[in-house]
Amino acid sequence: MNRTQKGALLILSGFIVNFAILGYLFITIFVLKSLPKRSAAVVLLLLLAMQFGWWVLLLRKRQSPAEPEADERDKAIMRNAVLVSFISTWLLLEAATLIPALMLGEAGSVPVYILTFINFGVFLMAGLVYAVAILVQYRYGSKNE
Amino acid sequence: MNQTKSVSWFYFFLGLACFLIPGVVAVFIVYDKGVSFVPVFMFAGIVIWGGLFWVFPFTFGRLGKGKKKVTFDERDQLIHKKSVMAGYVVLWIYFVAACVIAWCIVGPHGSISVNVMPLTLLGGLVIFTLVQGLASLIQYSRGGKEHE
Repeated sequence: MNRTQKGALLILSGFIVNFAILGYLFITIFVLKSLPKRSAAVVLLLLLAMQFGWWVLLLRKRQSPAEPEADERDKAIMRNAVLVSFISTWLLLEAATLIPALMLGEAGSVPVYILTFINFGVFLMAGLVYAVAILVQYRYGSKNE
Repeated sequence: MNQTKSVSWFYFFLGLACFLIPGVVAVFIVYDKGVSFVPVFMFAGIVIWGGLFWVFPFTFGRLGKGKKKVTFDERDQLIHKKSVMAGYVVLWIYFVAACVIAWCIVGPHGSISVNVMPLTLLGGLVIFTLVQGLASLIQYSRGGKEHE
């Protein structure tokens, strides 16, 4: 596993942990209408510490002592992944802005903090698509390049 | 006029026609009957068309692979990809700035009209197209050298 693949795995694990934390906070605050418990914070911190430890292990273990940062093939794969991530970002942003307009009608309005949630959600999804696109391209040997 | 120029003009008129015709029709429908599914659907189509128009050169490049004449070579592909990536970066900054500006204008407990959100998206499309075009021009003027 080279550095690009490790980076993709880090992003993927970051997405999963963030998604779990945000999902818990969203359900607690908006669905159950209560504040998060302190015991949950301990579990979340433990989760973050485990992830951090895994990241350190992953980054310390190198493929070989002469492993480069990224060669031409890695760069091409990363470039393609960014473009795929852009397509997903664009479609998600479009859905996130047009669906409220359609649901709430001409005179509808949304709280301003929703925009931040939309941006953060799209950012997380862009990271997920980027990481998956990199891993998929390595798996299929990047035949297009 | 060489083939590259004629292909560029073709993209220009295709993009313009697919952008303007549904846009004008959607505006007329909204003006006449108010917001409904049809104009929103047309608007979605326009924004997808505008935002993902940069994919076309790659698609046509693949279709014309069997032909001997090369109009979109490796260097052009690299320049095109880099300019799209530059546009993508600016687009992110634009959307983050839009969030912050909206927050500053209406305050943390304020709300914004849903009509503003599609307009923000349209603004993003304009900025993306502008940055992509500028980045392409700059890279071609510099000879498309590698600046990784």
